[in-house]
Amino acid sequence: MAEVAAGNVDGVLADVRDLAQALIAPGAAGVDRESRFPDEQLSALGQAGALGLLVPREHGGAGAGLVALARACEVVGGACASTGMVFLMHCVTTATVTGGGGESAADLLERMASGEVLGTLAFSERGPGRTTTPPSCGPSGATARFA
Amino acid sequence: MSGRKAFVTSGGHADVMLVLLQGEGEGLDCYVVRRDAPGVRFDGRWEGLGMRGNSSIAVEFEDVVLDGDARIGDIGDEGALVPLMEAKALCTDVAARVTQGALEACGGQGYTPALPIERHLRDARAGAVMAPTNGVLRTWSGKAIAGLPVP
Repeated sequence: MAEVAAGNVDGVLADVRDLAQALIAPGAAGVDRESRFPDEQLSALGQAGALGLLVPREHGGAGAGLVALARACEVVGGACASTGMVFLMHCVTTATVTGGGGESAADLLERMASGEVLGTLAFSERGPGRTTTPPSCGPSGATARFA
Repeated sequence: MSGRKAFVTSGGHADVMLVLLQGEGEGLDCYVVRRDAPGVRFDGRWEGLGMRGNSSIAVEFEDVVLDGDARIGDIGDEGALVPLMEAKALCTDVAARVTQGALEACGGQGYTPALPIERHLRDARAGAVMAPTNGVLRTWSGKAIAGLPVP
């Protein structure tokens, strides 16, 4: 897989389609049967630059928006839903870090764009629909209030 | 920070996670937490009906030290909230309906692993129950459209 230049959204999407056909779809039945985390698939998506799809160009990503993400997720998730979900969560993590900024955002975004660091969200609480307040996590010693 | 989160996709595999937590004051904070930070422990194994490779497991935090520079700032853009909520509910419902239709079109073969239909059907069923569930989203959409506070 050739290294993808930052900002090349169409090139990334084309590589994602190739990977879906060559690697992700053929591996989907095994991932499902063995409940196996799709490490190999994620590593290939990282090499193709897909893990930096939503990361701004100045941080080594493709600088794409949500339409490109929807296209990529349709292809990856259509080939293997587990890989698609892991990919999606990584991408929305990069988008959240981009939007929220913060001191360490630049370094983290570069490492997530290259595939060195895989990201995810830990937003959900136990019970249906419990993605929002009040979270059970908080300052130590105060959590009894939220449990 | 101490507490627990459920259904963390890529749990135990992702290197970093963003955690929503009760801040010291009012409102919520969002922090980047490393998987290998002291006090972070993943719990259990994912045994879902579908999405069987996504390792959606619980994580327990015990006195995890948060770096001030790992805090993610204001991320809110509520203008897109209603279309996003409706898109999630609509698309996941369509996926469940389409995979059920494919199963019926293929007959008994579709109900066995001889065809990928049964896997797609199980995977698609995850959509409606992934938080916020579609029922919850429809309630919130209605409230937002009526000008009531969400949630």
